Amino acid sequence: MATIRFASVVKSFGPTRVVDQVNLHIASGELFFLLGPSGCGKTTLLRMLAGFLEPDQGEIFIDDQPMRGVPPRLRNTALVFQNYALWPHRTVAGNVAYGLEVRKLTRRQIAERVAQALKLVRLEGLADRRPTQLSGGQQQRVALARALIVQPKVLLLDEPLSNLDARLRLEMREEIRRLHCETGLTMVYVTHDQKEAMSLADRLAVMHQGRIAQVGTPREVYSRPASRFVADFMGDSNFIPGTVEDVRPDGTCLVASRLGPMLGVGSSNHLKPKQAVTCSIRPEALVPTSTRGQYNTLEARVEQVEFLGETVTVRLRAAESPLQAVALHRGSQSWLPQTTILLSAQPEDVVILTD
Amino acid sequence: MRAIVWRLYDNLKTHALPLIILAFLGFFLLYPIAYVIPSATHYRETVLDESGKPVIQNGQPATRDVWTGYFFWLLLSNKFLWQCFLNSVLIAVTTTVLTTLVSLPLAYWFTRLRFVGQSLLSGFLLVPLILPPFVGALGMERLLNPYGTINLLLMDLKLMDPHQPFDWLAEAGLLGVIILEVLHLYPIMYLNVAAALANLDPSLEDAARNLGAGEFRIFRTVTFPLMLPGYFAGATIVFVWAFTDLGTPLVFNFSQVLSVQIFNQISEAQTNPLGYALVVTTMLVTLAVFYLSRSLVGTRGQYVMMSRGGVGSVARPAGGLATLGIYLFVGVLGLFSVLPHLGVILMSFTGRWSFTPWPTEWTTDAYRLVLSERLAYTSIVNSLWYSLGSTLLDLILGFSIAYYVVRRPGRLSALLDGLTMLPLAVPGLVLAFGYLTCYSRMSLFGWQFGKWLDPATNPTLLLIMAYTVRRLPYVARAAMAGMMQIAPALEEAAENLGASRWRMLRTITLPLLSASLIAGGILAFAFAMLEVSDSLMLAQQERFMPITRAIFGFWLRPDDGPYIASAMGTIGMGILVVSLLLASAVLGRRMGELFRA
Repeated sequence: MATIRFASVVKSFGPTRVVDQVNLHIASGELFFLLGPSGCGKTTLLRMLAGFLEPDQGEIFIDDQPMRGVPPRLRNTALVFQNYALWPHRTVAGNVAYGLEVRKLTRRQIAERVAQALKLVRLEGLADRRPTQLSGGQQQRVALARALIVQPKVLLLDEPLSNLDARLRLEMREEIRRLHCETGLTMVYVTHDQKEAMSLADRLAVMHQGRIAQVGTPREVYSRPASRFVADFMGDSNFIPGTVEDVRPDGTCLVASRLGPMLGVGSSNHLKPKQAVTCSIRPEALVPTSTRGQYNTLEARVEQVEFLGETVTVRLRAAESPLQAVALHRGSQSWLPQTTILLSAQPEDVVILTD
Repeated sequence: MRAIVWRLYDNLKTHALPLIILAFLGFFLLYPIAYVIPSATHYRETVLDESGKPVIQNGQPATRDVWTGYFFWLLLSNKFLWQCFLNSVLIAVTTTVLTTLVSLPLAYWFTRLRFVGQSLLSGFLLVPLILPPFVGALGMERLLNPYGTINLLLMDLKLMDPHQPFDWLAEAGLLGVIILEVLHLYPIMYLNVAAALANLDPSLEDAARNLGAGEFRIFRTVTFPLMLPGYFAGATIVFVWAFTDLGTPLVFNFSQVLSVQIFNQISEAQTNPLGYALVVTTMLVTLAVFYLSRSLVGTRGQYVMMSRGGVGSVARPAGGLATLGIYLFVGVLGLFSVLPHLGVILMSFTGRWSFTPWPTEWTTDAYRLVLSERLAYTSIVNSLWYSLGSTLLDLILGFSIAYYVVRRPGRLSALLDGLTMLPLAVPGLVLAFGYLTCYSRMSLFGWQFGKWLDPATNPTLLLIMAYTVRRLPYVARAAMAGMMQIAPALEEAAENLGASRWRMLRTITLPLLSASLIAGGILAFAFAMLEVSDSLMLAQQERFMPITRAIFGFWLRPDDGPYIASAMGTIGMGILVVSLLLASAVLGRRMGELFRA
């Protein structure tokens, strides 16, 4: 169990800054996600934490100990690699035992703990197989066991599920959640899959072009995105441009847009009248209504209804701008293609973004 | 100031390994070459006074250095030398063209068709590699001399007048050398072209087929251009090999080639710059060929590497007729290429063989003589030691270079890579010539360490170094190919779990690399055993002679000499067969990647 702190960390490869002034604090026992599109610097951040790269500037602390100059082998941060990095010349047990052999445990102790670790990841009976004889999910479990057995201060996971098929991915998500509960380890998990992050994370950081765009719980980040990038990356959203008319004392904000007046919550406290802003409304927040309100009412034409199983996605057009709404399939009869419909959203579902 | 010293130390620590290797290559590769070049352009001449008498200084005739391009001019103006140069070029060019003609269809058949006995037959194709052409020439000579097997058979068939036998060797001369080179070198070309074809993404050809191209058009516009890098890689090696081969023309007694002329100049190396000039000329040609093939290939080489994938699904079964054709082709080619080997083996078991097509008495006396003849026995032991030493050195160097070049790319590793591959372009002849002359008078603070490096007193160290440097590209390449297949994450995982750098190398990298290293090592060993030019030039005293030099020595000896030479050749073949079988068992298809430039 350990805390992690990144203090003004900067890293460049050649002329490109891949990590730019990152400040982060990860609490002990937290399952923390670094989330972002490829090339955003999340893996670089993770590799600096593991010690494979040194920051150009700034410092990384594990349990308040500065890590500069500490080689990977002394950091006790076990990493689960994206492609598992299982050694093909060693058996499953040989792979799992490696960290204990390095730590010079007796043969008996090693055998005992390897058995324990394989039991933890439910791979009893496969100890003598070669990694190549295992399925993707089983290889993933071996990689987890190999990392967990050394009782690391921090467990690092680098896109651990990206090579698995959809069903197995769901299964392994459960597995990782269970391991987190059972071990209580501080875990740092890198992914580009926002569903994975939202379903597992205690807290997450969204990264964009080397910087931290937003930190928070999945709920906070999803419903109160700090920027258009975060709103877009964390799921679909309708973006409606406008200008601020009035900032109210309760923190809500009135915006004039082409689609009518909108009332929403500001993503920052610095909103001023006449400022150009974007209103972000999640598709599921747009619901059909029969009465026209003072604000947040949109008149739109239903163009297409896409059937997705339990939900439907509705493509709409309002004053030439495309919109989309999501509704449960049951009860979606009110969306009739080629009809005009009135939609409304609650003010707390409208986020006013400044970029 | 302290900080500067500290940083210098830090830099030295991280780059110590490549710097040490660079120093090694600098001393044993670049220096001998660099030594040859100025020697080719100057000589010492006695100073004369106006009346034409030598000026006496300190009781000795005074000398002075004269710098001149005269010897290069001599090469161009002297009819004989010019002819030698042309012959060498002719041998190299013709050999390259002929090996191409033989290898292209072979490679195409063996990668694109499936037929019965394919793997066995492809192994058979590699047989010529197991014998240095000059030992093969010993066997050929026996079959082809005026009263050799071929002529006697022809006389028996009344196809030749016994009183006017046709002297194949004397008449063949140049052609004989070329034929023997082709028979020896086509496997190298074949391995390269086959590897290039196998690495080609079959969907690229399918794309052309899909757009309506015919098979020949596909070959001309897609397949051939894409396999050019592999082809040039092989062609360069074949060209350089044929251009600089010393053993074969020597045994055929065909002295109008550059390599033999250089060999003949050794004894005058200290006084006559002509040898140096010939060496420099040889090197200029080989370097030009290397540069040319690299620039012709351009960046397409990288493209082939990128498009690898889906290999193995292309082979389609060959029809019965096609299979028959392939067997016929390989059979005839194989028969011709094993003729020299058969001749050598026959000779080694011969008790009596004169004026009959086949030996009339069989014996194992030659082998008994090998054991009792001091020269034969010591040369085999010598060769084993030299080869073992150079192989170990090659493995250590090759592994270090591969690790550094693959894991720490940068300017220093690019330099290291380039220097490691340089011996492919530098003929053994050139290196040996440099070795002969460049170290003997070296000293450091009065310590005459040059005498340890003087082949006239003891060539052991130099022979080992020559073998090491010459075979380093093959070992390093094998190690690099293996290294590239080890994902860096496999090593990082070990570090991440607490392993030190050394433990990681020992438990992860080396075991994963072992197959490549073993294969590279076996090849280095086998080729060191059969290294010809270095051995012929550097080993002058009997007690230091390696096996190839001893074979040549016996060959020149009357009476039982040739039989002992043949027995030793057969033993050498045996060692090589075992080595190559081991190597290909470990490496499989990747074997071809070792023989390229």
